[in-house]
Amino acid sequence: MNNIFSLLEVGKRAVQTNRLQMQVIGHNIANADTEGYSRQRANQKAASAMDMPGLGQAGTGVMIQEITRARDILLDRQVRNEKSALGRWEGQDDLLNSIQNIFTEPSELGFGNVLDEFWSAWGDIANDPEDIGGRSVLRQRAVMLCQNLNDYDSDIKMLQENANAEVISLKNNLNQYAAQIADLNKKIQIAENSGQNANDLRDQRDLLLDNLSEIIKVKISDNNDGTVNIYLGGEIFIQGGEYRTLTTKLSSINGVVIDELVWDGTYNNVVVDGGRLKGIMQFRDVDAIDIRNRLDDFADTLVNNVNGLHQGGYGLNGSMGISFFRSDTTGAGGIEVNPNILNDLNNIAAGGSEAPGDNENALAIAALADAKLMNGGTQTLNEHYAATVSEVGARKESSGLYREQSEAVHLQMVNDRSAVSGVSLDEEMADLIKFQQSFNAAAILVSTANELMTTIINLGK
Amino acid sequence: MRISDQMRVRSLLYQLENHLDSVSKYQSQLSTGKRIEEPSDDAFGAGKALRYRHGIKMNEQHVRNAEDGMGRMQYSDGILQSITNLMNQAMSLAVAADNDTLTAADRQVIANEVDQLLEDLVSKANTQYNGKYLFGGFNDNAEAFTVTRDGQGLITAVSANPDGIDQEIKREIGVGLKETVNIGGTLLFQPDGEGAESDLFRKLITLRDGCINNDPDAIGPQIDAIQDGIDQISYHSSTLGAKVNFFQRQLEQLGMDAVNYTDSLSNVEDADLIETVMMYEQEQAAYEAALASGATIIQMSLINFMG
Repeated sequence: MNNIFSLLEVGKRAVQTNRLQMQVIGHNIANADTEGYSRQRANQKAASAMDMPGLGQAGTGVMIQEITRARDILLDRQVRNEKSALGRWEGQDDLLNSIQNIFTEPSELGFGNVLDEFWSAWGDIANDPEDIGGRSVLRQRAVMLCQNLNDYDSDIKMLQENANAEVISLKNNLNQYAAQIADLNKKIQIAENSGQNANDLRDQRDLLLDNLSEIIKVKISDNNDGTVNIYLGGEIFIQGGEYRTLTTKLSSINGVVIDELVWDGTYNNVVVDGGRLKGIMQFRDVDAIDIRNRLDDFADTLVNNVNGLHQGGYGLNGSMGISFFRSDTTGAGGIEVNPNILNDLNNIAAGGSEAPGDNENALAIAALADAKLMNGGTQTLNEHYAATVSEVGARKESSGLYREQSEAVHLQMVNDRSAVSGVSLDEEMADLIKFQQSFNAAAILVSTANELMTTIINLGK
Repeated sequence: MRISDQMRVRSLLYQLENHLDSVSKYQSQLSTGKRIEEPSDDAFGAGKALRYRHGIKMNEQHVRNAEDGMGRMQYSDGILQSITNLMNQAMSLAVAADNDTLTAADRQVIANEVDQLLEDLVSKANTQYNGKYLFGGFNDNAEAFTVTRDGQGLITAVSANPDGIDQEIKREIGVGLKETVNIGGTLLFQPDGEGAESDLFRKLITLRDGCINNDPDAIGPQIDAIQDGIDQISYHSSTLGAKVNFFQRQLEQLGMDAVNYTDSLSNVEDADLIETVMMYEQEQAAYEAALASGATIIQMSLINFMG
C-alpha cells in the first residue's frame, strides 16, 4: 500500500494520536488536585514500518503504545512508613496534650497551690486551735483538695474512654478499608488480565493503602496478578479479593475496662506496632494508667498519713479516733473528707490531748507538708506531685518532638512522591501546546493528501 | 527535580504554619511574661517551679507562725515587766514594814497595800491574750490560778489549774523547727509547787499576814524571799528576750529565703523579655517574608502567559 491513501492514513493516525495525547493531558489537568492521583502518560511509538523492496522500510506514522501512570513503589513504601509514624505520634500527642491541660500547671491556680493551702490551714489552726474560723477554712480547703483529685481522676478516665471509643471506630475504618481494598484487588485483576493498565483503580487502591497505614502499620506485598496482600504483624489481613474481619474483645487494665483489637474468629490479639491506633492504645494502656496510678499513690499516702495522725488526736469536743478523710475509699477518685468532719468542725483533732489549747496534733499534721512520705521515703507529697507534673510534661514534650519530626519527614516523603507522581500544570500546558502543534501539522498533512488526490482526479478531466 | 503544583501549595502551607506557630508562641510568652506556660514547655523546669512555689508558700506560713509567736512573747514580756514592778513595790513595802518603830496600825496600812498587790499579781497570773489565759498552757480557756478566800475575803491560797498549765505551746517557724512561745504558769509563779518557798503568791501572803499580825519576825525574811522572786521572774524574762531575738533573726532569714525562692522561680519560669521580643520580631519577619514570597510564587504559572 504505497500510494496517496497511505499518506492519508499516516495523517489520520497522527491526528488521532495527538488528540489522545491531549485527552490524557486533559485528564491530568482535571485531576491536578485529586488526592492520590498519579499523572498519566500516553507512550507513543512509530507504527510498524512497511517493507519497500529495494528501498528499505517506509514509516507508517505514529501510534499509542500504552497509557501508564507515574509511580515509584519505593517512595510509596517510605510515605506509608512515615504515615504510620506520624499517625502514632499525632494520636498520642493530642491525648497527652489534653492530659497536660487538665493540670493547669505551673500557675497560681493549679493543684500544687491547693495542696499548699491545705497545709497552711493546718498551720493556722496550730496558731489558734480553738478558733472555729480557722477550722472552717481548713474544711473548705480540704473539700477543694478532694474535689481537685476526684476531677483529675475522672477527667483522665474520660480521656481513656474517648481513646477506647476511637479504637473501636478505627477498627470499623480498618474493616471498611479492607473490604474496599479486596474489592479493588478483584477489579484490578480482571482489568489487567486483559492487558490493560488499571491506572485509576490502582490510584484508588494506593490511596486506601495510605489511609490504612495512617491507622495501623501494615506490610504490603505485591502479587503478579496486580493484587496486593496485606499483613498485620505477620498475619494475613487481605489476600487478593479476600479479607479477614477485625473485632474487639472486652478486657481490663488496672480495673479500667478497655476493648482490645482482635481477629474475628480466633480472638487472638492483633499486633499493633504503628499508626494512630498504636498512639491511642499507648495513651489508653500506658500513659493514662501511669498518671492515674501516680495520683492514686499520692491520694492514698495523703489519706493514710493525715488519718493516722488525726485518729490519734483529740477534737475540741474531746472526740478521738475520728479519721479526717473517709477511710473506706481509695485512690484519687475516691478521696473525700469524712462526713463527721464536714458536719462538726469540733471533730477536727488539733490537740494531742483533750486540753482545748493543745495544738500538738495540728503542728504534726502541718509538718507532713515537708515530710518525705513517698517513693520509699525520698519524696514529700508536694515533690511527688511536682514530679507527676514533670512526668506529664516530659511525655507530652517527647511526643510533640516526635510528631514535629514525623511531620517534617512526612512532608519530605510526600513531596518526593509528588515530584514523580504529581501533576505540574506548567508541564501539562507545555505538552498541550506541543501536541496541539503536532495535531495542527497532522491536519495539514491530511489536507495536503486531500489536495494531492484532487489534483490527480483533476488530471483525468 | 520536578515540582508539582500540589508540592508548591503543601510546602508553602507547612512553612506558613510553622512560622505562625512560632509567632503565636512568642506572642503568648510576651503577654503572660512566662517562659513555661505548660509543663511540656520545659518538663524539668515545670517541676522545679512547683517546688519553688511550695517553698514560697511554706515560707509565708512560717513567717505567719513566727509573727504570731512573736506577738505572744512580746505581750508576755510586757506582763513579766509589770510583775517585776509589782514585786519591786512589795519589796519596798517589806523594807518599810521591817522598821521596828512602826505601830500595829502602821503595819495594818501596809498590809492593805500588800493585799492589793497580791490581788494584782493573781490578776496578772490570769492575764488573757486573744481571749485565752496567757499562762494557762493548753488549758487556756479556764483560769490558770484560782484563789481561796477567808471570811473577810482575804486570799489565803492560790492554786494552779489541776488540769495542767505548763504544757509548751509551739510554733513551727522553719521546716522541722518548732519553738516554744509560752511560759508555763507554775514554772513562773510556783516552780516548786503551791505553798513552797518559791511560790510568789505565798511570799506576798506571808508578808501581808506578818503585817496584819504585827509580827516583825515574819516580815524580815520576806525581804530576801521577794528578792529571790524578782530574780526568778528576771530569769524567765531574759530567756524570753533571747527567744524574741531568735525569732527576729529567723524572720530575717525567712525574708531572705523568700527573696531567693522568688528569684529562683522567676529564673525558671519567667520569659526573658528582651530575648523574647527579639525572637518574636525575627519570627514575625520570617513569617511575613514567607507570606509575601509565597503569594507571588503560588500565582506564577505558564497559563498566565498563554494567549
